[in-house]
Amino acid sequence: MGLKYSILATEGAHDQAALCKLLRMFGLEIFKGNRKTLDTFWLDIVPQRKEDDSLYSHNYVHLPYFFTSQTHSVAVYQGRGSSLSQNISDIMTLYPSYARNIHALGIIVDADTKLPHEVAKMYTDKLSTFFPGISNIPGIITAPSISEKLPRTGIYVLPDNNKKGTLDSMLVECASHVYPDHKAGAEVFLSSLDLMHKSHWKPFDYEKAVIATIASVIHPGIANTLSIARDNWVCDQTITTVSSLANLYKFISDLLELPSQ
Amino acid sequence: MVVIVQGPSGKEEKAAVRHIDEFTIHRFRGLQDLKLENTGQINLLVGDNNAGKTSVLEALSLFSDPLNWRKWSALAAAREAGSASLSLNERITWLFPQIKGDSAFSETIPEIMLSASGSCLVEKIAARYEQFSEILQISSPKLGDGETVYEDRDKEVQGIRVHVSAFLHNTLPTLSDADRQVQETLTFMSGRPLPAIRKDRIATLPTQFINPSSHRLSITPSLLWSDIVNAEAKSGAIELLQFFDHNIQDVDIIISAAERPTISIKHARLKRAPLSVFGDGLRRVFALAGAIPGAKDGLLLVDEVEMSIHTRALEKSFTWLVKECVKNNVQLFVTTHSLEAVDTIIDVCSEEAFDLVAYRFKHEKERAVVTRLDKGLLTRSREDLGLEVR
Repeated sequence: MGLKYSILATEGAHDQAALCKLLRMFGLEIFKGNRKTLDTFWLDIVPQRKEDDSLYSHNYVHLPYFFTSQTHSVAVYQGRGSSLSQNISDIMTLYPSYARNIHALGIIVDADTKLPHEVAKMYTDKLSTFFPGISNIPGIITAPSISEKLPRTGIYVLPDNNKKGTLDSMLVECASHVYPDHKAGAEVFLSSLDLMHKSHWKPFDYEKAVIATIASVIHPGIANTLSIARDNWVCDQTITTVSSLANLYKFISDLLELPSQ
Repeated sequence: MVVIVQGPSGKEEKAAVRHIDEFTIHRFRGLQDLKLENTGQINLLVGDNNAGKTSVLEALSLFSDPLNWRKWSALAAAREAGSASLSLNERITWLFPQIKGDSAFSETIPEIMLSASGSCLVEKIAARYEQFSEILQISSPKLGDGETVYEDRDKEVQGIRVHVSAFLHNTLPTLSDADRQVQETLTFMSGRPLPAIRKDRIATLPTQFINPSSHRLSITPSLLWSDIVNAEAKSGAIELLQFFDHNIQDVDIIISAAERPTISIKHARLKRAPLSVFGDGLRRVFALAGAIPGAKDGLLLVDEVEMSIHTRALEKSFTWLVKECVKNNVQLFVTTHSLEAVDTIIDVCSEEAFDLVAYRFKHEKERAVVTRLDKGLLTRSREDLGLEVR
């Protein structure tokens, strides 16, 4: 029996890092990056560099990460924020065989500006052409019958499919369990700052700043993304104690049909 | 006539009316039921090897002048350039779908059928063939008693007749169905001169086909340059050639008593030198430049457009090519395997707001399938996503 190929699509690097950590917890191994050994199924979605007039322009290169096991091969794809739905639509138009041949497609996105059901509807409006039956109810997995030859689909809206928020909202809750001292210190530091230093913050930037403060203590100089991928924000303890992370873990497990470790 | 189309930026862009708006290959060579929808003025054909990109160009070329035996003969021979291992009959039959009993093509009919919409005169062509043999009397010389005598003998020669029907678009209310159909039988036979082209055949869509070896054929450059001069496009063409060699000063056709006409390049360092001694890149753009006048108000078909042109010269060459096509109302169809060529054409068409469409060919279950990428999708795929579109 062949591998089950699936795509998990996210809006940004932080979400991608958290999903990568989750997949490792399911026992999948990360692909190390040698193009020659990449499963040919994924070759079409690996970016090919374009000669650019600007030597420092790398903004379009968002490489998917790939994870494999004996039974599964998963691409964790990062779109560019609000462009994610367009990007997936473009990929499915360009490579229609993906929509026919993948085992599952999961969309994992934030509810930073809209309510979760509004976010889910925006994605289903754009993607139902390629994935008929994809549910516009956050957290619901559609599993077509085998005869339909369609992928399993689902949309998970962070942090918990119910309230507004982002991955960072969930990670701050994780920090309460695994980095309680760091978190308390970060909150004291951030609240001590004069408002003029925080006037440019957007919704949920506070949570990002908490994570950055903690990360810079754990590994001085490290970026949030690396810390999320490496440290204990997502770990066995938080999966059992943080309900929104537990829900996400179950969603990934059910969608991809991955056995829990 | 000008059509307003919505560009990727949301701005309205002007596009010339298409000679071919939609082209369907019902049956031709190995292709079946393949449709190019909503063509652009600039059309990129990309995709797998052996997926049928060159066949699409050949089908367009045939469609543009279906009753012309020269066209059939040239197309049949094009892939054999320099290595004629197949007979004329065999080459002609390979233009037709081949029947394979155990494949998806088992229902294939050995008939070519192509159709199109657009401003072209022809709506559909259908062609079938029959093979035949004839006994010809051959006279061959034989040495007798000090003098040559000729001996007649019979020889069986194989031939092929292609019955072509062209159906015209019903643009005139007075045109009956019978009037819309023009038929011609083209007979090809080894050793027998090909017939004259009938003068009452239908008006053709001007078309030039540049294949990967066109620039190396010695017969064409002088004809091409004559066309350039007649079209008063000489200075622009020389300017393009100077990009490849800034010492080029002028181009002339030299005719000597014993030789065929040759292209002579006036060169600051070499004084005078034949075109054939220059590099492939220069000869390739020479072939492209020369094809434009013959494709005016019609089609220019270029197989492997990047062939022999260094990546650094692509931008200059393609900018010139695209602008000349637009200026001369030429609808351009090019194949390429080069990502640099794809990116350069996207850049050229973006800067000038030219109408660009790409068609991506892929083999699926023994059949070529095509995906249309409009300019917006093509541009996003490369510039935003860096995707492999070939």
